[in-house]
Amino acid sequence: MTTGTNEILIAEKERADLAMTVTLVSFAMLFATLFLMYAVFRSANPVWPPMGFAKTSLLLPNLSLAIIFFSSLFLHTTQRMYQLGNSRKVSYFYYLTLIFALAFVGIQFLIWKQLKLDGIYLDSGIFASIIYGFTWIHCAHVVMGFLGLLYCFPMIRAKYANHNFSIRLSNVAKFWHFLGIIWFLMILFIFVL
Amino acid sequence: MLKKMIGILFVTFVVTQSSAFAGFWAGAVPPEIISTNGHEIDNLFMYTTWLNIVYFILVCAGLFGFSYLYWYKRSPKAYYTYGNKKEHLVVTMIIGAAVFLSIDLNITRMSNDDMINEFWKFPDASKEEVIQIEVLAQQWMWNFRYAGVDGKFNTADDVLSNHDLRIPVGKKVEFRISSKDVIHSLYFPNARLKADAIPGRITRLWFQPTKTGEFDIACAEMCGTHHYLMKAKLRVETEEDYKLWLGEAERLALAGNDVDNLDNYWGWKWEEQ
Amino acid sequence: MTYAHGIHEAPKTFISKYIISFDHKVIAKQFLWYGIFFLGVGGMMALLIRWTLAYPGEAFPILGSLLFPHTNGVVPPDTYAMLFTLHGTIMIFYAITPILIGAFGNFCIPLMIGARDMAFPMLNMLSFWFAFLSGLVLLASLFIPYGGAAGGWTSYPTLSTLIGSPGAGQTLWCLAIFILGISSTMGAVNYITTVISFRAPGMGYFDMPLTVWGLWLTAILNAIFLPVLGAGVMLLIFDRVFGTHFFLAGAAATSGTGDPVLFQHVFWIFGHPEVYILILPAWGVVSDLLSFFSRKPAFGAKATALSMTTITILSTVVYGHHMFTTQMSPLLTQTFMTLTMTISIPSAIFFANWLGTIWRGSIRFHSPMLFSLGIVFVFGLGGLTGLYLGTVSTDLYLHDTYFVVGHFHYTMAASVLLGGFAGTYFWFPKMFGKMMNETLAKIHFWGSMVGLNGIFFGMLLVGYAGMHRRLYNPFVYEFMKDMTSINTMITISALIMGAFQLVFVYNFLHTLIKGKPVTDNNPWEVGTLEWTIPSPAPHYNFKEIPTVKCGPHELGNPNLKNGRDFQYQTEELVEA
Repeated sequence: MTTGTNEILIAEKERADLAMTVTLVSFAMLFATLFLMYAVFRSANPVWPPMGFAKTSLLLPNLSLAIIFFSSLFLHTTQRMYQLGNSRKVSYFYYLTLIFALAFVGIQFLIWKQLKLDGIYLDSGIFASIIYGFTWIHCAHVVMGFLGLLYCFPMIRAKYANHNFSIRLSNVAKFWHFLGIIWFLMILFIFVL
Repeated sequence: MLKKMIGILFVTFVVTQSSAFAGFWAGAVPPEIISTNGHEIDNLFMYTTWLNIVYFILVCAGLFGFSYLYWYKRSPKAYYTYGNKKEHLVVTMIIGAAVFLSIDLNITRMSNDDMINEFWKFPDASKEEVIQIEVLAQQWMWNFRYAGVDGKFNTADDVLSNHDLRIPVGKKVEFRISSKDVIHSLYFPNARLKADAIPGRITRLWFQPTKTGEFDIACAEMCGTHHYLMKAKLRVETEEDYKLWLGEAERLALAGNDVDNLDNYWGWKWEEQ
Repeated sequence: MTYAHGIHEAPKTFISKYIISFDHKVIAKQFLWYGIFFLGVGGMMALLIRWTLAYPGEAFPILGSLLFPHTNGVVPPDTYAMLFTLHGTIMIFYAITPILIGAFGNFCIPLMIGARDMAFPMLNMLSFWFAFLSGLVLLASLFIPYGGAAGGWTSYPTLSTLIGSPGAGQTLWCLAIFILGISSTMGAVNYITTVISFRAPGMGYFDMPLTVWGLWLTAILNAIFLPVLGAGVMLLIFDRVFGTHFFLAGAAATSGTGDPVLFQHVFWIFGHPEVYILILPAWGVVSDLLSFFSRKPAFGAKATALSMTTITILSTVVYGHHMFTTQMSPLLTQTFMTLTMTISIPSAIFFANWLGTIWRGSIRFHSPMLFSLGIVFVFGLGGLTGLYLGTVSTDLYLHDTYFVVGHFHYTMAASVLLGGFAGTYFWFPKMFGKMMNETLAKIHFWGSMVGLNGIFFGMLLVGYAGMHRRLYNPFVYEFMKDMTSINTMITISALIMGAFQLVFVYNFLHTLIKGKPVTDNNPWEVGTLEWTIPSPAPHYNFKEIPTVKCGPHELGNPNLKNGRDFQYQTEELVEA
């Protein structure tokens, strides 16, 4: 272990990146399957939304999109500050990320409430199934991502500023950005188009 | 002692089994063909079988032959090769190409021709007489619907029948199939055909019977506990018998169908596809 | 060195050594026990199914009255449906997957590529315990009102929705599969990373044994396609529990409702790669073992590896051949038929290579070799019978008949099972440091060959005669009355097959408990990296990470002068 500690660290980082890439491919396949189903239902129904539903208001979805975008941005900044060793700013942006993540989940509940007010219930056909089912799955992943963020909590203390935490943070951040992209696609497909 | 017991067991086994042996291969014979195009499927099956036998004999020749010839006592020194010489690669390529060209391309072409010329070539009701029947599968029952006197489906005078399908010999019959609850599969072993019955979709199937008689109709797709009991009778009748039965059935339908029972209107409009 | 990694101390307590272990070898053994347990359960179910098919309405001997007291030992029809559903599920996901992928994957990958452990030991441990949890959920589903899932292992909606299956059994089934999917994905991430980054210095991809190739390709397919099934069963759970309508159709030609066929698409997008997920490790093992026991290099090893890769890629675009009878558009049908047929090119190439490997060899018929040759035989039959099902017109007749059952049992059950046994006999000394009894192993082999060919060829015969699947009592149909004797023959073969597995169990346990430790670290005289270290493998596998200097199949080199006919991968290739 005397020679090339640095090399070991680089190799560890490479391994983690590789594994995270494979993991993200897996998650991407899960969401790709959902989008494939959406495409099939969409092409099978000449009128969309079907069964006389109106499109839902875009206010809340857009708001949640903005929130997840900013949380991603804050997480990215957290990472940069962590690399620079600026521990004060690390905790500042880290907490901001957490707050925005929670806000995202909160908005999710508002969206579901709004859907019910609009008369779109769970059992009202495929349109409702897609909106509810897909957003549930996404939200479950957001909760997972949030737990991942909490898993990085110790790093806001300077004594944990080590290599392992940098890998951990970078993996959680990748997952979080991935969820942001998925959310963008979901908004685009099931709310806008 | 043990040897004796094994011997007795073996003899009883052979005796009991050999008496059954005559009937053994009868169980490996597909049911009698009753449609004009069913033999296409059997022909392709046999064609594939002969080619498969040829290739399987080659595999076995290699497998058993090499195992015999190159047992370490007969062949103490192995031939040291990676199998990447030019001649090795050429032989491997030839085997790959031969299998693909002789079996795969052949049977794909034959199957495709059969599908296009027979099974996908649905009869045109505007040009010839086609017996049209709607089929609704449900747990665990087959419902059949004939258009009745007015020739229109899903009207009050439709002839409805459960488990009992009658068609005339020599006429093309087209089925439109759907399901009420779970996925089923309408299976005519004697016509070598099946089509899934899927809720929310209409699938179709046609054949032209060539023999009169009674045959089995089965459900081929797992549809619940009593899947195995979901059978119906197919009665292929002479044209006179069929007309006689249909006339009587249409009369009974006009007289006896419960016009207000919504359950009787499970049919749909027959559209040319 | 960049190869030092994941250092964890040798465990000291019982729990850290055998239960919550991070050691890939222990996890492999956990998966092996787990798989063998479920193999027994699934096999028992198969016997109950076979008994019912041959002797409908008769009590199952001995166990019957214990299991089904209220029917005097006769398997009731609803239980029958549960049995074949769980037989399929258990054999595929809880027996083959853990044995071939969990056990051999975990055991062989690090040892064969010269690594000290997997890339992520913690993830590996979690992978096993998730699988364990999943197994518990599945078994628990048997003991609840209405019993376990009974919609077939494919669990097509709408039979698998509340319309066709009330009770929580089907929901728990979905949940179990989902959890198992998480477990297998974790394993796959681990395997892929390990193979890419932990190969010993000097080991290129084509210097890896073909076993590792097979397992690696399997892991790639798993990582890509398990989430597809995951999405499918998740939506099925939503339909069942929360009342969404993904797979529930309305009346014909109404719009805005769900579609049961969509589940079939999703299921087979995963399901077709899945059959290759199961068979690829077995192919890899066979390709290696044929070379080891023929004492010559694997014939066209590179071509074999590339053929396996080609099949892996092709397997992703042929799934539609499972759904011909749902009547996709003719164009789609033709496309899937043609694509399916192209699979026979790479298959023919590695068949040629297998035969090329034993050609002019110096064959030693040890038990692993017998099992490998057995695979060539049964996989030949399995592959060729696939042709009938790939062509649409014959599939119209054969779809959902016993012909299909015979075909996929030949490919998935017979081949994979024999592959599992070959691997177990071969690596047993490396796993436990003891040698299994050769005579018993050979008895086990011949008994199994007779049994499984009797079963699966019989299935092909009755399938050709039109007998369809999942029937509680086939003899209610006129046209199946003649099939009694073949069905009886199949059942007797199944009993024979079952009986000979007891020989294996006895051999396995007896050797484990009473067997003498091997004196020879390399009983099979082969040169791959796992045989360069003591048997059983020590905690850290390799004292020093080996440097690889030649390929995995260096046997029979005439230039070798040291009295051996093989050389280790750590040795410079001897040239004239």
